[in-house]
Amino acid sequence: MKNNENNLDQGKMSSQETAGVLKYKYNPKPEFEERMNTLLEVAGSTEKDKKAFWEIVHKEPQNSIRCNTLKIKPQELKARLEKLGWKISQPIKEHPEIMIIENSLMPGELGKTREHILGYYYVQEISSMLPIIALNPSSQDKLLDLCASPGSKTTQAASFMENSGTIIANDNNIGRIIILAANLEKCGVSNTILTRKDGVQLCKKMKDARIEFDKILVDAPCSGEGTLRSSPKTFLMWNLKTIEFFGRQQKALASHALQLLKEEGEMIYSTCTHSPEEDEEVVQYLLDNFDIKLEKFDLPIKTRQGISEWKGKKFSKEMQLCHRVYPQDNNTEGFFLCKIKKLSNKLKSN
Amino acid sequence: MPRFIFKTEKKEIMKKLEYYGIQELPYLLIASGKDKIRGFTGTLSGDEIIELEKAAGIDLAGLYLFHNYPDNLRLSMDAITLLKDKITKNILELDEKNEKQIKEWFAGQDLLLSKEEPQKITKQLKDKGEGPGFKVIKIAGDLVGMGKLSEGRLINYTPKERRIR
Repeated sequence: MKNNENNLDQGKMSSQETAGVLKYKYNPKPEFEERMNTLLEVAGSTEKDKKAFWEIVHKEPQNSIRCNTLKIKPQELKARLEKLGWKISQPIKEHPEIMIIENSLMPGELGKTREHILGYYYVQEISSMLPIIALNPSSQDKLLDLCASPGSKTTQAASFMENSGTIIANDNNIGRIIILAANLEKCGVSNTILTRKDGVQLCKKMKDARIEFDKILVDAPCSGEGTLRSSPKTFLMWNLKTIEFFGRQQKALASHALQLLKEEGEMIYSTCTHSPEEDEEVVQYLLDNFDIKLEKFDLPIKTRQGISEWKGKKFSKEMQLCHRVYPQDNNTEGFFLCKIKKLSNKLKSN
Repeated sequence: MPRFIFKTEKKEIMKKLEYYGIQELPYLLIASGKDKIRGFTGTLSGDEIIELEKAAGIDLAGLYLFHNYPDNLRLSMDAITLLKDKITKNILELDEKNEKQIKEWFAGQDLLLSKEEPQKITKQLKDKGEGPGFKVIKIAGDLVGMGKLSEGRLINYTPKERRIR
């Protein structure tokens, strides 16, 4: 780990001992800092808000879990965890399955309880729970989770669907598929079919076979600017080329996925990054090429609307229906998501 | 290509499941590998799954339910939790007060039963009219895994990735 750090010239590191603050503090690359500050200003941030952002990204994320309702009821799990001496809060009334462990834990403690081993809960960051809350899949739906690994959202969807309906969960890497399969087993998920294909290729093959879905989740691979708290090495790995690469990949994945969506079907496009090239720009590409509209939806935490302009590029007014999640607003990680409704199979370019 | 398990073969499986008191299994059964059986509860039919397999290839479908031996079945750790209300026989309860033993169980170790324990367990089995063999292990109200009881030893089938170290 240290060797890599030393090889990266921008990754100045200092040690921190304060509780809750990451052990190693990585300074952001100047270009990232400048972009983030501009983005926060565009999103209406004050100096105080910007400061709050740069402070919280150096703090460890809070411990949040999701009760696996396929195996246990939230109140029963809460009572069991409280017996372990944990202080549990359920911050969202409509979603009692979402729990925060308020007390500090020993390293690795979250993954070593009997309840975790038995699959009674899944360790998941709250912002990562939002796409399935927004998509709200039901037991009648056929759902495609195109970039499914490690399975946090697939297992959450299976809970929403009470192991009925059907989920096709795909990832293209054997290592990640193994993790995904293990997590599905642990959570007792039985309504899911796993495929291992490049996402674009999978969509092409399913389109040829006329397979369609009621709902689709494209939680796309991204540069991960929203995960600085849990993966501080993102500070070191950040670069513009990666953002450009992911932007192209995301457009390909989302546009091919859209072609599998039934008319009137809904698709969530989400990333765990703040960069507009991977968020609004991808959504704009979809709006320009498909007969779709963005849907208004509410989320149970504070979010900010999508931006209307970035680096001289103007986006559709509809972009205000996108949700941006900033870590300082809810003490979570950063996230972006939007809900797309397919109006017809027509392509705008035709 | 997935191999579905239909009437005759399912009937044989249901017969073996009676060992655990399981009377119904609301899953589409799919053979996986040589002896593993998976269960699918999705709404796709067998034909639709085959269509998907032809179009895109399937790595796995449904949940691993059990290992099918010629004479019996060994339930998977997660099938046990999902079928907990249907399992009525061959449940072996370990004493939750025996902290050392419970810790060993969750660490995936086979349990060497002390001199007194075989007697206690024999009584537990005798009361229920059951013998040695595969057992669903119950600890503090939870069905936590599978063991095989034979001659003072409880073999632990907890998968490696599910052990607490």
